[in-house]
Amino acid sequence: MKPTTTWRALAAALLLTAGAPALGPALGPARADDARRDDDLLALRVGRVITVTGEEHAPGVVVVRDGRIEAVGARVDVPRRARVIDAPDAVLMPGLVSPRTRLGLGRYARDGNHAHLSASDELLPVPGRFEGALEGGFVALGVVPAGEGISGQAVAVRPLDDAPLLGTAYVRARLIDLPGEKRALRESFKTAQAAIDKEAKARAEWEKKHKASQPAQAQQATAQRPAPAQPQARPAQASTAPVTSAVFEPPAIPDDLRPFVAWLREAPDAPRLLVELGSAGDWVHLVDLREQVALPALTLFVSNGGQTDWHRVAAQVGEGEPLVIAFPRVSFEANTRTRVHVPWELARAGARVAFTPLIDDAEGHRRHLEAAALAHRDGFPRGEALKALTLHPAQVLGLEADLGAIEVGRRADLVLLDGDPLEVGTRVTAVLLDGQVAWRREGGR
Amino acid sequence: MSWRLTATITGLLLGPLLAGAAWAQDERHEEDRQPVCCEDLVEDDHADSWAPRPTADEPPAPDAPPPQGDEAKPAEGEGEKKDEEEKAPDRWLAVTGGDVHTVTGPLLRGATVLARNGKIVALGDRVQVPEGAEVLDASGLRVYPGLVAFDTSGLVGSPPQDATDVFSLGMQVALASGITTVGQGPTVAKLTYGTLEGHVVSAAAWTRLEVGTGQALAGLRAELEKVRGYLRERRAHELARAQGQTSTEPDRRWIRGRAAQLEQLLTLRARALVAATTRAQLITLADLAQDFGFQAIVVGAQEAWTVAPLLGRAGLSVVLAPRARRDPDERLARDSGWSIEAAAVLHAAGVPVALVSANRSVGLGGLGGSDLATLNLEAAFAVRGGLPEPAALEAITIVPARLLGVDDRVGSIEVGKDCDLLLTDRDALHYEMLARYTVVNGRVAYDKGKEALLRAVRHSRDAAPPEVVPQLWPRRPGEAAPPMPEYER
Repeated sequence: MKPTTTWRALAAALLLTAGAPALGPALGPARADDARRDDDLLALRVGRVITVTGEEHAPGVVVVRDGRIEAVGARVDVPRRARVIDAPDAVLMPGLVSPRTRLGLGRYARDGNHAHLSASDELLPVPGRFEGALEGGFVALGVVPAGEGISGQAVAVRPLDDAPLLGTAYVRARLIDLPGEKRALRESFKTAQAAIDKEAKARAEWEKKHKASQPAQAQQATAQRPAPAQPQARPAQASTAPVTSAVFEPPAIPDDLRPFVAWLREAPDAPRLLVELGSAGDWVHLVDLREQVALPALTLFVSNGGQTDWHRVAAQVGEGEPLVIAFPRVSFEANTRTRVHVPWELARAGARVAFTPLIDDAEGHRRHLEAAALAHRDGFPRGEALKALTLHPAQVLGLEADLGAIEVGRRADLVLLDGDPLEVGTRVTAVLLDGQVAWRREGGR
Repeated sequence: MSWRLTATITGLLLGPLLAGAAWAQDERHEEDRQPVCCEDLVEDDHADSWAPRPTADEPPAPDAPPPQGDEAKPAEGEGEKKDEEEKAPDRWLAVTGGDVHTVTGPLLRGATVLARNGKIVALGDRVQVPEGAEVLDASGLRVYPGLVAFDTSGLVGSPPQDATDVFSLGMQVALASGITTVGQGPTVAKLTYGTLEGHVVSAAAWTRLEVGTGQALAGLRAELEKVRGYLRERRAHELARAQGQTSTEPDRRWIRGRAAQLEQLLTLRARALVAATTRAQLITLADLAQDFGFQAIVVGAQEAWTVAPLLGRAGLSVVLAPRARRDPDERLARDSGWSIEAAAVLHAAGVPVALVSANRSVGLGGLGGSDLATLNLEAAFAVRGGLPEPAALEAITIVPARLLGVDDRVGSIEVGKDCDLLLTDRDALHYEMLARYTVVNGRVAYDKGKEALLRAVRHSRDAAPPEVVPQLWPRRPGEAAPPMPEYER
């Protein structure tokens, strides 16, 4: 059962033949002392590995090098110098991701368009701010700016006191308080379109003037035009030909319109747009808005509360496999005692559902896994539930290449559990961030 | 005796045939008729259906082949046709076999209402239902035009296109009680459940007018006189220009704001909405309306019955809640107070009466009975006060539609109007009336069998109980889990 000398010999041979020449002198000194452990190399031998995107391995091994997953499988050779965590009873899964939270942050009122503001401005290092998040198994949080209307840019952070930034996640807009928030969105897109048109007009004018002035310049200074595109040459030219500058300077676009301009231009680096909706009626207004302005691809937040009417439009919402943030819960059809499972209906219609904690506080994050387990018990399919905890929220945050699954090349942000994640009562025993143990339950292994 | 009967029967049979023959003879009509598709759907002759013939002025249906010969339509019609072709396929709805209460026409038993894209295109008992049409079996049901509530609050947002919650409970309850069109302030909107398409009907249905007394009244008269003077001058100018004489156009730069509103009134492009309760206020208003010839809607006019003939002569319309009542003042020598008979007295004097509920919103707390959910009961109470039943039905359908200026679209079941229907197994004025289906713009906006709210409410004692849906959650300990619907991504 245990690795024998043969195995060791094989591993050593591999290391000598393949590893050493490739890695060169870096491994030179290490080779001299085989017994020394490499801190950047970690192997987890666990009872079960839930990869989320691929098959489960029971038992399974995950090898981590430099904070990234190097190998996953049921039969993976553990490098001999690796630190080994042996947990034959534990279940390993990718870390949970909270797609939309204001954990540990206060409230304030703000409406209108503030798309240029970022939630990172609020994230001063405060000890215990993200209390509960690591205990709940979270490895990344999407922190949103407060306020109504288009409140600003959400950022993805680690749930640590100094809130290390993982990136800008999306621009958050609400479409709940009507007609104000519908107007704010529509007007922002229309103003952005006007800014684009203005720039196009200015460019056309500049080109016209530039063309008209070029022959004159060519006559005046035939040889003295080494670099017409250089901004430094501008003052000299301005004296001779004040009508035009050599470089087109587009009219300034206000900061709060920049994301909107990027969406209208379909820029590849444009942030995603999250639209928060309160009820099915708001969805109808979003459809109406889409007919009036060119909305980009959206992430939706359907706040499926205790009383809901989302099931009325779930089929339409799910069309085109959008990312939809939802609470893992069963609701009552509004004003009746008929139960409806909104996340289930959304997933059935094709939506990529991302679960967000039922209550946006420490306890809500601690009990997120349990809430998902209950949603699964009430019919939400297992595969989708696992994705709704990890992969889909990672996609919401734009971190799908790094988080959300146990795959080779992704960050080793992992969670060790004492049972199946979708069974009520399962607890998180340890959380690894970039292959380092960031939190472990006291009294646990 | 028998010859008279025979003559009557012959007349009945021949009349339509002769009418049909007359149609056939009129070649121009015949040419027009040929391509119009909605007419093709009516299998038999005009005599057997309630579908009116098209006139020469009517444009052909958009998807019909263009008329041949010299009657080709202008380019505008062609453009419409192209637009229509690019759009999604037609949305047909056929309501078959119901007793159709048209309100403005006769009762058609077992007739079919056929709608295309939300407009009624055919009506009668030999209507051919096109393939792919949504069919609503109304056999055993009564089909009424959707009820029109003149004044409501809380059902549509402000502005409706940007703020209405189209899944609100209030909207569902109003639809369940048969209401399809509502006025909220001067805005007229339809209760398009689940969609914003065709939601807003009219943004400015009426203009509010304060009549007042004394100085205020004199001021209003002077303003009206001034605007009327301008209108006279303009008319004289137009006549002079028509006769080729030189004439300077009267200055209309001052026709702004209030003056523009009054111009709308005096040119009969808008109705005035006036709040007048007492006899004195009503007499003043009637005088004013007669002097200047504008149309006015009187709200809160319970005492109007005491001066009903005067209001009738002045062409005023009245909106009232029939159940509001006040005892007469015994110190007065004249009629006073108001009662349930007010609507009947006004109707007898030729005053168009629209009925509203005492509470203008859907009351969801406590006992109902005087809110929008029982608009039909208000009409029933007016019948109790002596209003003829057809007039009572008109008072919650076509009359408010006229007062809101939307009677070209709603208020009755006619070809060319919007397909807004109330399907119910009771008389519209019955106290147990609940909509089985409510249709708005040719879409089923409310289906009692599907909505959890009133699904279990049954009228007929022999009706099957509603299907009990097994609850999936919570489960009792030890109980086996019911099978979940199959799910595969």
